[in-house]
Amino acid sequence: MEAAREQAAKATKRQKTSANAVREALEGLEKAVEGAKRDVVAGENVEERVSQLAKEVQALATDEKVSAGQREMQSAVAKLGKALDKAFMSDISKVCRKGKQFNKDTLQEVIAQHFFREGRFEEGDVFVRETGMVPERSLKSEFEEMHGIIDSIEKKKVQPALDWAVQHREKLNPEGLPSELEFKLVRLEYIRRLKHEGKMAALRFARESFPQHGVGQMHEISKLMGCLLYEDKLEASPYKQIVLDDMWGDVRKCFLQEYCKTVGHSSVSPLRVVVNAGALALQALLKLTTIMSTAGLSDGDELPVEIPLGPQYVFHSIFTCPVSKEQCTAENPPMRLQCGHVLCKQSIQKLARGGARPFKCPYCPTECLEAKCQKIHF
Amino acid sequence: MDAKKESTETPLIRVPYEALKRSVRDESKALQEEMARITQQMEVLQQEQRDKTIVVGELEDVSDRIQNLKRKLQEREKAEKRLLNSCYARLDYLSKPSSPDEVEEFERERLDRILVDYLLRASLTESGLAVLKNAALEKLVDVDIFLEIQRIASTLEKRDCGSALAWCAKNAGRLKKMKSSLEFNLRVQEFVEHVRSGKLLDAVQHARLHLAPWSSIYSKQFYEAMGVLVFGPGTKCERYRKYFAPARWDELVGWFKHDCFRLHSLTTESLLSVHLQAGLSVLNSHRDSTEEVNIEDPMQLKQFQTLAAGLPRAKHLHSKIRCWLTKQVMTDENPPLLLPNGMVYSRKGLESMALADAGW
Repeated sequence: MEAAREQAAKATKRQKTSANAVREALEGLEKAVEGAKRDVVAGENVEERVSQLAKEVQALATDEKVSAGQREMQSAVAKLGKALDKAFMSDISKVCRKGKQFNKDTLQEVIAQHFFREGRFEEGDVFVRETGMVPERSLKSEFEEMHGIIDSIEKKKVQPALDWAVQHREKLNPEGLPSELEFKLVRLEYIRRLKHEGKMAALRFARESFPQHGVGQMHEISKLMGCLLYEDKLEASPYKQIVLDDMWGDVRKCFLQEYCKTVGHSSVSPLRVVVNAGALALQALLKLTTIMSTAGLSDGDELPVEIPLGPQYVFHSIFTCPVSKEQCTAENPPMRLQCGHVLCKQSIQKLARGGARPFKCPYCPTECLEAKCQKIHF
Repeated sequence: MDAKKESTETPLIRVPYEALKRSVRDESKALQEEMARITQQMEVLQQEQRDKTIVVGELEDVSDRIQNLKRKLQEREKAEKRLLNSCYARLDYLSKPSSPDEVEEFERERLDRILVDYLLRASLTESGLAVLKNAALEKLVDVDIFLEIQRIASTLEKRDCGSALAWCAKNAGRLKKMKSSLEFNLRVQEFVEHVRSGKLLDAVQHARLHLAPWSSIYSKQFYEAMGVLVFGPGTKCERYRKYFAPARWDELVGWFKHDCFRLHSLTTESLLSVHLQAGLSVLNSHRDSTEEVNIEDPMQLKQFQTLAAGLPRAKHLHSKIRCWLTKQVMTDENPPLLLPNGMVYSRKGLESMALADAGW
């Protein structure tokens, strides 16, 4: 990439040089022709003057500077091309399976939902209108409330979020106590009052609102009460971390996650997750297509190689039997042998060969009985 | 961003680069040709003309040529400068992200770029431009190209081949190199329309003029077109009926767009298609209906399962176990522990559960 950038800079310089050379040559040509014209009109010998001009034109037309400038420019562009070939994959659409078409309605729904979920109502509305899709499928209303509250959080107003948190107390915390989100919001309000209305106002508020959070948040509450002593000088106090932390950002994130959880949505737009995963996997998949040289990705049911994406993309447990290299399923669950090693049921059955005789675990030479293998859950 | 890995943002840089390469080559050719012409004109002048007025006239002509050339080259140079700047700016943009915040910002913009690309290709111009404006992506999306394509495509959608044919004429050389059959198919469609409206004589004349030259290259399709003339619009024979169907025009629009993308070094599939196909494959794995559903998992949504139809699933050679308690993947530092009832949880999960319940 660096190399390509340098080449681009070089090419820009060469282009300037070449352009200047060409311009000079053309201007010289112009002058020569104009000069000859004037002289001929003024009465000089036509034959001689034209002869002279022809020589001048010849010289300018084959000017070394011009041809050198052109050559160098083309060479710089070619070098840039080579650098780009090295820095970029060749054709990314090779990854697409031949003949695969996405269901248009589903795709449009997904895109519309993405817009509304991320609070981009303007774009979402334009999209819904332009595609003519059924507006209800876009889930706009579900996200309107959420973004209304997020807006107020961004304007540093705690109340709407707090109302929501109180209203949904049961869903947020199954034990019936106020949720962590609720406490965070209350904490923000307390600090605001401390800063803007003085410690008496803050103390009053604390007396009203803190007790119900006492069970889980005593540690934090005692810190906040300590802040009362430093009402004007929080930044210089031992509690300065409280004002430095990005509490509003944290609350926004927390609210987003809790809201989505209560309505049963993921906290990140699924479209974003899939596209990011795709971008991560793209290089590996493209290398695959060059090796396999069939139309698009594998023709089979499964990709031929594993493409690790990292723990944030592991959404459910996957157990691969170390013997058969197959994924375990409900019909073929992981089973623990007496020695502690885990294989899938089918592999165990194959090893035991149906008899009641013990068989050897493939990893350690312990003998195990099929009947004694325990099914495990993750 | 790993600088050593090859970037997958190929079309972003290819579009300005290929345009630049072509422009430089064309400029060089134009300059050489014009200079040769001028030199030759001078030679003729030198050898033949003596008359003052004629000479002056010729010299003025040469002067005009030079002016023309100067102007054309200046325009080209401006365009080349713009393209070079674009190349440099885009390379710069791609090499920037390093901190996690920057990477997150880059990924956010990337999704927007991908969406704009999809929307503009799908003729959802208003939506595409709205996203473009809101995300300020004007420099990173080749809007002009898409808008031009859309302009011509919409005339095709109105069943008018005129603009599309003009475009073919303008790019004839490169289309020929690409072995494009677009022009031929457009001419065939015009022919079909003549037949549809009953103007059979016009149809035959049209065929003589515009289809015959292609008959050797596309002989099978050519004879099929002749068959269309014979069978007429009311035919029930599928082979010829398809030419009269509205779907034929949709196909033409598709072929036109396809050739346009190729010509401009854009991918023939939308960036969204590329990334979705890759992502859906790599995230999709065999699922248990009894397993608890993770709402963060896109693949548990019916819509994404529909979209993933026909795509290969991910292969997992290594087990990845997610602790139900902590929702984290178990590692060597946080290993799985088996309880007597057969349930497996991570050590950290069990430890925190023990803490919360005071030791149990």
